[in-house]
Amino acid sequence: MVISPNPAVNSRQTVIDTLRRQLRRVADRNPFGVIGTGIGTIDACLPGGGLALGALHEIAPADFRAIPSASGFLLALASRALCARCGILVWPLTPDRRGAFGEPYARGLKSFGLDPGRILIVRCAQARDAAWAMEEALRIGATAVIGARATDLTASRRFQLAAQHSGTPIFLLRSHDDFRPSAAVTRWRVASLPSTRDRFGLLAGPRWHVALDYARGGRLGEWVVEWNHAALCLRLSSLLADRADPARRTA
Amino acid sequence: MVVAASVSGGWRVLAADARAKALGVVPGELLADVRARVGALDIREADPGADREALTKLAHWAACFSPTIAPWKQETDATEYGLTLDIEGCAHLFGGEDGMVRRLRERLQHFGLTARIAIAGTIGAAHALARFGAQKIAIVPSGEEERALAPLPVSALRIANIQIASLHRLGLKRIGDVAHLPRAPLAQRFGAGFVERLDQALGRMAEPFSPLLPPAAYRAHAVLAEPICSQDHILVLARRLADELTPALLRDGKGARALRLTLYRVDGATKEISLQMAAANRDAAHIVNLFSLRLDALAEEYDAGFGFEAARLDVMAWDALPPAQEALVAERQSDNFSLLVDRLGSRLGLQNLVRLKPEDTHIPERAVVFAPARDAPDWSDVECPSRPLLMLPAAEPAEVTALLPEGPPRQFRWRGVHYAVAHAEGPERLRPEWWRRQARPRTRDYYTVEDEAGHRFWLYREMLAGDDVHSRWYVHGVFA
Repeated sequence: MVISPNPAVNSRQTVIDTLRRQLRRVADRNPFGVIGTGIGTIDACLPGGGLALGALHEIAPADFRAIPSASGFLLALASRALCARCGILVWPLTPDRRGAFGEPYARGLKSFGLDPGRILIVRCAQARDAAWAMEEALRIGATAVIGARATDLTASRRFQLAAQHSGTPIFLLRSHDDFRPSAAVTRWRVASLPSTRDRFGLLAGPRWHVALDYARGGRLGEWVVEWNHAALCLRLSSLLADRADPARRTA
Repeated sequence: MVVAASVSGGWRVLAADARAKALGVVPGELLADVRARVGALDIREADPGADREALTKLAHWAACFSPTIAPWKQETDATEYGLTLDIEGCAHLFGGEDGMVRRLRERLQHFGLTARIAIAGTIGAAHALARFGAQKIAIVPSGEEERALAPLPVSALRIANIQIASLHRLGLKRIGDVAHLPRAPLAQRFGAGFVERLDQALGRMAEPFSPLLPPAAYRAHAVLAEPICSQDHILVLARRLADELTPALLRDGKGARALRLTLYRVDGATKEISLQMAAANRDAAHIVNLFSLRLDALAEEYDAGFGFEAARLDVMAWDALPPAQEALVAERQSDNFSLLVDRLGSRLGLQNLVRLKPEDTHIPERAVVFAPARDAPDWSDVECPSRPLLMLPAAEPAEVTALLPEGPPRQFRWRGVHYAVAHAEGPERLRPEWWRRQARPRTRDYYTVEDEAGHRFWLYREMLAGDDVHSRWYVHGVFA
């Protein structure tokens, strides 16, 4: 429903009705509310001003070697969801996932604002078990679910429906070469970038190139973001800002 | 058919079936004699291990008559086996003692077993009557053990052969002959063990009884008129049993932590399904739900055969669970959590649900351990220096070029890929804990390294104490 710019076409009542209908449609989309990413320009692109709770979000690395960066961005988003509500984060691990870059390390998770004590790790022998565990977790009790396995369209629809039902967000780490369709509400692509430096020239926080490839009801965009380990939040970053001039450093 | 075994003096017949007995075979004869007399005989070697196993299996099956059960074996005679059941409070389920005995006999006949059954007030009396009684079925009313036992031979008393022989020498052949003799001279002559057995049989002395299955404080039991096969029917039955348990648990303010559902198959096999729960619970619907998941997980092993004819639900472990007020608005979070752990655990196994627990050590691979899901580890006070997000299961060797022997890496090759180091920070030197004995302690110098494309790694150089030349490099983790 579009409100015509010509005021003669719209009677007062139709305008109100149209607006109400639009409002309901927007409200229905996020009945559980949203969580802000902490960056205004990104939130502005997402419907409702943030990542929808009760929805499936997918994060893919730009290439194989960006898997740790994509995991980091995923955890940064998940930690926002955990901040908002109490409860437990369910994280199924399948053996084939361990091959790439190893298992999550609790002491490293802490610097992403996650309390490792609130993570329930579910060791699954097969991807099928992991999918079942994630769906169960979505239906009962979990605050957020992290999955590490690309799934087919049917499975992702099931996740999306279960998430809608309970209001629990689910974050999936897709493979970089997996272009199959999915029912995700947002899809992100993350690439590694050189870290920011502090004023002594030391590594300050990881920096990523984040692209919003798909957002249902939102706008797409690309940003360079950095994770601040001290403030435990995401920030926009520019490629050149705060970078010590190499010429001056050697001098 | 006869069963033979090699005993003192050669091969002897241990047991013979009815047709062999009709041909004149007597247990205890030498096998060679029997062979000479009777032509065609099916002779099998005795296998005491298999006998014992079969008896245990039968005992598990017979637990559908009474949960307090123990198999016994006569030491003096290798062919005598039996089961002792404590049927206190169980007989009414089968319409009294008569009905119970009839059903038990019927079922055993169905398996092809010939059984002699006796019910008496003491274990000793039931034992003696079952083995030496005139009838195949004997039910002795309480208090009449002495009269029932009097005509039986003394060998019915579960005593050693040598004691039987010396009693016979003195003309004491029946239990009635010794029942009234003064105990002190009897004990002096035949040993305290004999008097004990005698008094135990007569009910003048208590007899300990160690049942095969550990007793459960809460249990529910159902015997079905018709066997059931389908999973749905089993769940309906489980629901009925769980409903039966709930009031008792509620009354005592208890909740079940571990449950066991035993299903009795028509052919005598038993199937046990055990359940562990994260938190005490007495909600029948929840319990049945978990059993349903367990049955799903067992899909391949699940074999109903010709159906199940009885079932029992035991509470194996329990915890205090005070009666809670029904919540008006929302469920509490912790309840949700234990519900989740139960559901996931019943299909995937509780051991596969773990939480991360900090360990007080600076060795990176030992600093985090897996704890059971039930524990809630506290991370609030744990100081975490800069650590990678992902750790390799085991450190992987890397070829590293450094400008100085003790300097930071300038470039390295890992998994066949070459990385040019743009920035390196370190070293963070970690030494092995001195209280752990090591012949040659290895020191690690950790570097946080970033390559030109922005990939961040955690490398370390391993050095033997006092040996700077032979150092090796490893990649241990990856930063986000």
